[in-house]
Amino acid sequence: VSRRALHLAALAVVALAQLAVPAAMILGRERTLAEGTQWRFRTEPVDPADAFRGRYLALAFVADSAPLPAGTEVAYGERVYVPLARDAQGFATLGPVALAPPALGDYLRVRTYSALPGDDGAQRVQVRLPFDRLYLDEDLAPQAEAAWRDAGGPLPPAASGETTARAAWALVRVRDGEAVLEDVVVEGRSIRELARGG
Amino acid sequence: VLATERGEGWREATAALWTLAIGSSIALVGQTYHIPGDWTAFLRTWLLLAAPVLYLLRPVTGALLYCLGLVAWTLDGDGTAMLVWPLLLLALPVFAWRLRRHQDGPGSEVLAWALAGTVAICLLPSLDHLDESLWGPLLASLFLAFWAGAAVARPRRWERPFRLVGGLGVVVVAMVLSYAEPWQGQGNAALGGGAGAAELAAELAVVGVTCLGAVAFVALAWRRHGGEVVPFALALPAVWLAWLLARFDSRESAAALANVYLLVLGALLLVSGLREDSLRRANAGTGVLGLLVLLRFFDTDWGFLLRGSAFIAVGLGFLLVNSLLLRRRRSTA
Repeated sequence: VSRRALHLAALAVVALAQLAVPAAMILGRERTLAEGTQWRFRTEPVDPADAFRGRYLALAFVADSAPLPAGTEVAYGERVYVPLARDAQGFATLGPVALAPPALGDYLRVRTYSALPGDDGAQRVQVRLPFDRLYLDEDLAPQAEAAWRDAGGPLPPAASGETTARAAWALVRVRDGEAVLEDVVVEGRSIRELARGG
Repeated sequence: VLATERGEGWREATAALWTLAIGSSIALVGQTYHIPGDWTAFLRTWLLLAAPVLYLLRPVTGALLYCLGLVAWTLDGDGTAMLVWPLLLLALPVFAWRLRRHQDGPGSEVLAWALAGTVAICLLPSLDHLDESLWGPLLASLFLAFWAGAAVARPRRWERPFRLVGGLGVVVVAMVLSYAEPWQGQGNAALGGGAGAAELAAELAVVGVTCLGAVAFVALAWRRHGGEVVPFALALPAVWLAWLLARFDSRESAAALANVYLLVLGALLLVSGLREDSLRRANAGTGVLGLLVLLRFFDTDWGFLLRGSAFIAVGLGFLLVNSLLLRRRRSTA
């Protein structure tokens, strides 16, 4: 076997391996989009810019913490599992943190931030949901944030001083702990449509 | 490029494009599916996929990008920085091949700068559980290994980056250690606070390899160049003895030993420069002594007259050494 043939064979193997990684990323996400269960997460979109990643909508979620069962300890940045449930309006809520995936129902694989006491005094853990960015066209991201604000944005403070969010939610497909963000919806319309002025 | 066995330019350009294309395609898929930015995981995947490019095309640009990726990933610090060493080992055979086959090529020198910089920058961030009092001695050992390794590799062109980074590194670290503060560690455990057994073993291995590397290169350099290596080689016993003093006696005595080492280093360089008619060496010695005086100018209780006199003495010494050596050269010419 000539040296050139060996080089070309090695090139073929390397190229296949390099193509396999993005291909696996694409196939996994496409399967989740096709077969996953749809969930709605209440959110507030804002438009940050990043020197490397360009513009995107950063999503802050109402359900960003999960109860920490007594006796369970988690470290900062640890990978944990949270089961999903729906509230009375059909929005997603996070169930108690577990160190192993639950046998039944949808769940998310997330990383933890810090533990803090909840309103009821029980310990809760803040988690980073794995769909906190919606990448958009460079010009569309600021318009999307403006569209959300035009549609109401955060409601003005009530007499009690509390602010209430407009109905905006992230549409997310979940399958075997993997979540893929489909869209962000404001008052029933896709934020992409709103940004385009549609 | 591989099939037609084209020249260096084609290989370099192809490797750069290929390496950047790998990162771009992962980023593009990530943004298409709105995957949140996990910078370290992204860089790790990129580095692993880019490593085979180094083996196929053996490019300098690809190797530089690889080193840049290693540094960025290590400095991001998500607790997995220790993996920088296996990733560097993965590419090391290509680096070694390049340095051996193109000993005097400019590309090899650039590669040596990248390699020396990457190892020096990544060493401390990769050791999460190391007590801070060990940072100085460990860095000094690494720089000494660079300097002695360069002395062994002389006169190959790529030894220069290791010699410069190593020599300057030893002096700068010794200067830092001439203060008491850097010797303040956690005190209770020299190594291993909060580390698991595997992490502890890996970090001890890095410390061990660095120190043994320094000893081995100093021994080889000693065999090849004799007493010439003594001024820098003394750094190894000096910093580790100072570390023991800091742990079992006081931080001030450790700092005092670092000061003594710098004084000896400057004096030995100056004397050997004068003896061997080396202007560069003599000036390096005067420079070390001058810097030492400058550092102590600001943090000692000596009187202003004494400190001023020391400065003038260093300046006069510098002039004297240079005029002496130049006059000697003129008389022998």
